[in-house]
Amino acid sequence: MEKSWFEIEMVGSAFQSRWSTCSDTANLVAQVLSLDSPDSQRFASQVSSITNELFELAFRTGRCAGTLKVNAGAPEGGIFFQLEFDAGDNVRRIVSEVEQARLAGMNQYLELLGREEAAPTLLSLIELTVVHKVSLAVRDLGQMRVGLDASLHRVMEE
Amino acid sequence: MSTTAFSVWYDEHDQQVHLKGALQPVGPGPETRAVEEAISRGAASPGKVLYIAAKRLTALNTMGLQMLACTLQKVARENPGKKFRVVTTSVIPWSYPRLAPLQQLHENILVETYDQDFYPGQSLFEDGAFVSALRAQTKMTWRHEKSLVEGILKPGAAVADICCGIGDFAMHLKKTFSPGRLVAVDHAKRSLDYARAMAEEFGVDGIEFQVGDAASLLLPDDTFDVVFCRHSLQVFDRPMEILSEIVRICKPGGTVYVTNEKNSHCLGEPFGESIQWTYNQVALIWAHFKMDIELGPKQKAMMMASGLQDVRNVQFVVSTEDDGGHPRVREEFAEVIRSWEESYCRWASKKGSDGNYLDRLRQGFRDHQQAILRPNGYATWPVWAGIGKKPQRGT
Repeated sequence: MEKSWFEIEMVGSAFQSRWSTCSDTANLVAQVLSLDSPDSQRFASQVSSITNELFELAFRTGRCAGTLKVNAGAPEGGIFFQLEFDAGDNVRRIVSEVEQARLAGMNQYLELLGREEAAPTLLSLIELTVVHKVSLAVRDLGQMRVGLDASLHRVMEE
Repeated sequence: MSTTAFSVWYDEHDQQVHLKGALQPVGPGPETRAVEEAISRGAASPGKVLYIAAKRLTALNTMGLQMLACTLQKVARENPGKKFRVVTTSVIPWSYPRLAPLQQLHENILVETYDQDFYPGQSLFEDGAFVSALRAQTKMTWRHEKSLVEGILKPGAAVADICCGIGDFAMHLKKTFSPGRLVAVDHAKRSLDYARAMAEEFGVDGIEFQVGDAASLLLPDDTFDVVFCRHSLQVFDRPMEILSEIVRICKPGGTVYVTNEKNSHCLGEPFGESIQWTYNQVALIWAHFKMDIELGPKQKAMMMASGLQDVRNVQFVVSTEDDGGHPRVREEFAEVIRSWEESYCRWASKKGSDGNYLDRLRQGFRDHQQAILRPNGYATWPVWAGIGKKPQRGT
């Protein structure tokens, strides 16, 4: 496992008290991870775009309990990002959706993108893998907690 | 990151739906309805193309993207004779990759990256000749600006130089004042490459050169003690948009510093009449390309309208008398005018001016150079520095 640059631990109910916490936290994470980048604002914009989707997933599926933990780092132009939270009965669904996203291709992404009733969590996971080329993994941590691991070898295209 | 609130509007004059700020809805709501309404209005307009300008969309979540996809797909099906062109930017790295799949939803939805038109005259400034003009200009103005900057820059300050061009002003700031943080932003990647190379060559560390769009900066609100934006509002067709971004990233209580010119006030003797004619024409040439080289004196009102307080508009005059009238000064000044001659005559030619006009235009510049280089000649170039404070919260 990559060495973590920093960790954040938040009370789940506080995290889920306001939707804008997702983008605020994503922006904070992105700013820290971009510190070493020569084009830091663009790097941060890209990272925030990715991590915001994972925070939004935690917001939609979390059960306002326990803690939300973040571990993240940005080694050599890439990033890794780990999120753990209490998902209650949604753990199985998250595991399933991550597995679907890992196998999905552009056709499935387009089909969901153009459908109003598509599940937002599945669509965002597929967008991460298909468009952003993020590698996703999921861990059932027991006690209704779930861990999501996202990594990207190179954040900025040359 | 920029935290600009989301806004969307349809502009019937340019047949564009403008998306600006962060579109990150939790679900259907006022923001998504506003997007649907603006796109539907645009779709109902008589033109054959509707542009969806996403150049200034600084954040977008999947929910927002899906809503955009469904809306565009719907209007494209309902208006089969109309094209929907989504315009993205390379400044925001996710912009094209995330929006490009929209074009696979319907044959009349097209997605493109549009980086040559941040402002109408952009291509005029990004040619080699103007780079040389910029370098010489900064050398001349720094003699005057140094003391103005001294009055507003405290040790350790966080500073931004927006529209930094080739970074020479940022280099002066770094070498002379060594601010705590110095971010220099420009849209032209070529200029920034040059700036980085110059900084490295001169051993100047710690300037954060960033690619950015001045009308939609990625920098966070309330971040900098001093924000500079020199000779740039005059270049944009919508200077208030830039000014509002500059004010946004300035800390409450911080200072905004802008400079602009009024070229019709450039003087020279002898040959005063010829010089005057040419610089009056320069103002018209700039206006043709939707730029305002006469903006300097007007900037005080603009700064006050953007919410800045204690605004001063200080005129300083680059002249043949600078530095005790040293011959080197005259040489540098003439170099600036030579660069203007080359660039502005090319612009006039692009505008469609005829040969006689171009000859007379060029003659005015040459007369100006003569006035500068003659030991008994006199010439000036006036610049206005607008300095204002961002109000503290609650004031």
